[in-house]
Amino acid sequence: MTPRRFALVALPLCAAGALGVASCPSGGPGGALVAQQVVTAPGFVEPHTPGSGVAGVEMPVTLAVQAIAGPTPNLNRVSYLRTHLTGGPPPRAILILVPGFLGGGGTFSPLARQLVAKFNGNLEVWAIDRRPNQLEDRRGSLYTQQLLESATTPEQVADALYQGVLFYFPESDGVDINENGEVDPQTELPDALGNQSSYVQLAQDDMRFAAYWGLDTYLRDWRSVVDAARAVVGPQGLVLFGGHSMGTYYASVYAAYDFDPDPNVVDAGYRSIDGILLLEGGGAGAASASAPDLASYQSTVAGLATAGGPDVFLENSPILQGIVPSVLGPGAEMAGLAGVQLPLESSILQRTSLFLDPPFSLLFHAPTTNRGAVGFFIDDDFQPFTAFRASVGFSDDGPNTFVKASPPSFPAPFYVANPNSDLRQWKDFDDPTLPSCPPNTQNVSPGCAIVDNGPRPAPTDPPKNWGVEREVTSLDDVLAIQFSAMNFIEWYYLAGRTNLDGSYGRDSSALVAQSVAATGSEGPLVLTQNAHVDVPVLCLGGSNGLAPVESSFASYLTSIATPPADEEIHIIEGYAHLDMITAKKNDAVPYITDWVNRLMVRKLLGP
Amino acid sequence: MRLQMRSWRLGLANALGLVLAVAATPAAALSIFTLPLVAPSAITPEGGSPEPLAGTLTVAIGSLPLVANTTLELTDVAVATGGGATFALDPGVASAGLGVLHPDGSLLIPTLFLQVDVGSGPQDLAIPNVTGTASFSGGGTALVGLDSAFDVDSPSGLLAVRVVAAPEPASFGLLALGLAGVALRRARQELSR
Repeated sequence: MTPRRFALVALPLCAAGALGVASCPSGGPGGALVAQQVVTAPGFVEPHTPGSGVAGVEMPVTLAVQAIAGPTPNLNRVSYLRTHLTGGPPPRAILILVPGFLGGGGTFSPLARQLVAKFNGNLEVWAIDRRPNQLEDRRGSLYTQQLLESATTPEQVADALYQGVLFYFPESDGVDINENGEVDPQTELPDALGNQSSYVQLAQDDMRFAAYWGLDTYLRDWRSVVDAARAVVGPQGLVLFGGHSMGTYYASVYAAYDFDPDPNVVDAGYRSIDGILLLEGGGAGAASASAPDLASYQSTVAGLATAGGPDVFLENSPILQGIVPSVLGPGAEMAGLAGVQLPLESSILQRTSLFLDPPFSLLFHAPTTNRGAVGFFIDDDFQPFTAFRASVGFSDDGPNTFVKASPPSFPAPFYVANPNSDLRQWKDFDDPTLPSCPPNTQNVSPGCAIVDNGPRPAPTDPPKNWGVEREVTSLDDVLAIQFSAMNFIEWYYLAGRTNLDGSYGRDSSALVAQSVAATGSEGPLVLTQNAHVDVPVLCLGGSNGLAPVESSFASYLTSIATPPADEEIHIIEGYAHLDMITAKKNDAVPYITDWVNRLMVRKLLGP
Repeated sequence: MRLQMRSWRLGLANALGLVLAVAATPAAALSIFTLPLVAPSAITPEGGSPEPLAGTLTVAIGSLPLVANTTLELTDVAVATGGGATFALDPGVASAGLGVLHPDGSLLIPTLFLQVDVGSGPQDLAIPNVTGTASFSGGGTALVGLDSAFDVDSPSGLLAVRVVAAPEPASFGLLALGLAGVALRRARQELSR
């Protein structure tokens, strides 16, 4: 037989002198051999999009977009973060993951690294960055990272951080980011047009072409990624498609989509994949009663495409209580860099308009360190929005005000940290002194990191948080993702065309029927195959997250044709929403590993 | 009475042969076998001398005799080197040793999930694409051998791994006796009909 050669991750034999192994890879499990690569490839050629080359249809590009993407950009591109084993053989399985609401592809990095290490490279993870991510102006962050490479003194490190922060956030009277007593000019850097400019924050009218960036465009982008993955693993390998949070919606509608434009031919998404993975989200729901008819749909798209029309991306949404993603995004990048470089110094970001204005000025006003600023923002005990929560530790060195849950804005309680006489410090997830309730009392300061949310509901009960919370995510990992190549936040989360498409839930058959009758074509959104989806589905929820009970997945699972034996649900006690993808030793890994492994063998067994 | 005694003796021989030699307990749709590792099972560092492997493998096979692809699953791995390193299935993966057995006896475990302990606690070791062959006797109903070879690319060089599992030579006689007993009993049953 032919010997098989492979690389060892987290080489366990490195201490085995008897085996003649002298040295170990550094960096912990997988640290030395698990690698990440940003892959950018041609995406679906959406004709209205700059760079499509479709005369008379391609929309013009504004100077702001050119400053970021170049004078003649081609924006029909698809990008993903490939996590793989360096030098290993081709994998037998590729797991494609779509991030959730406001999430960048980098959010999957901790989970992806653990899975690739667990499989010793026989599984790769490709984490999608949706196409608006290519319009993020990351010059300030990248410039700071460049300066940091040659910074040798604390002063030089601080200056590098100030340069980047001042690129994104202007100073004014009362806003003194570098604390030099002066109002400094914004940092300007060369842009893609060769000019010097500070942060280019896109306006709605800079992205009117995004009126045509709906589900159809996204799904056709991702179909090309699926096809690329299939070319790697071959017909006997596995291509699995999944998502986290809102990404589970995208994964389920991928499976339900008919990619063939001919009304008489079906090319269903689910036939191109071998399984669906739903992480902390219940997949696509049923259609809204307000799903528009074809004429209304077309009229809405036309409005989105018109200057001054409705928003194409999320900007000042009441959902976010005043948080603007294209301000939060760069703030998160710089906060991550500051948290790594000057972890215990006073927070630089707290001196910017991001923190000085509501709602941050109300929620995160206690002076803290650079690490603490990110900890307070993302921790499940201090972050009001469940969708942004991970269990990264606690801060109990000052008074914490308990805020009761007030749905729908704040569905779970949280703390607001108040000042102490110094800087509030952050205790990490593995700190042995993290407070619990009991002996502490949840609504009495300082409260607690670890709360018992009560007994587990029955599988058919309505979703409700339960169980004993756990602290499982490393703040260091979260900090590193903030400024990684595919970062944590999606600065321009599309909410115009995608929300319109979302109103059809998992089935747009009525819209397709209207379109076929009117035009002979299937029309702009072809979600017609959901009821036929029959591939295995693995559902993982967190008891302290957004999918805490088996019933969280019921609507989707009962809408598809997958037999019950191929539907698997596990709820991980104590996990908050983001823990499912960011936990250090992720309890999701054994479930996913076993599921993928069994599917591999099933595929090899043949029909 | 004499016939009953003879049947009892044959039954004992069958049991000894099957349990002691290959520990086979065929079930209706799943057959389980425990095989000891035998020479030349070893790990050999590049340019070094082989370090023998010892222990047992327990294997569950989906359907015998082989007529189509079926599952082959290592349900227990208890293997050690002379230097004290131990190898076991990864308890964190329910299907840690699951693979496929083809009608020609070739096997593939797409990813074998092990844990290795070299004295400092168990650590994960996943081995992709473990291939090998399985051999059978008794009309294809008794597993009598597994053979697999693969290389591990470690930081200090290549480790060549060879795993051969088969009944020990002393057990072959018992196995043969057991199989002969099965054959004899079947012959008697045929005759009595």
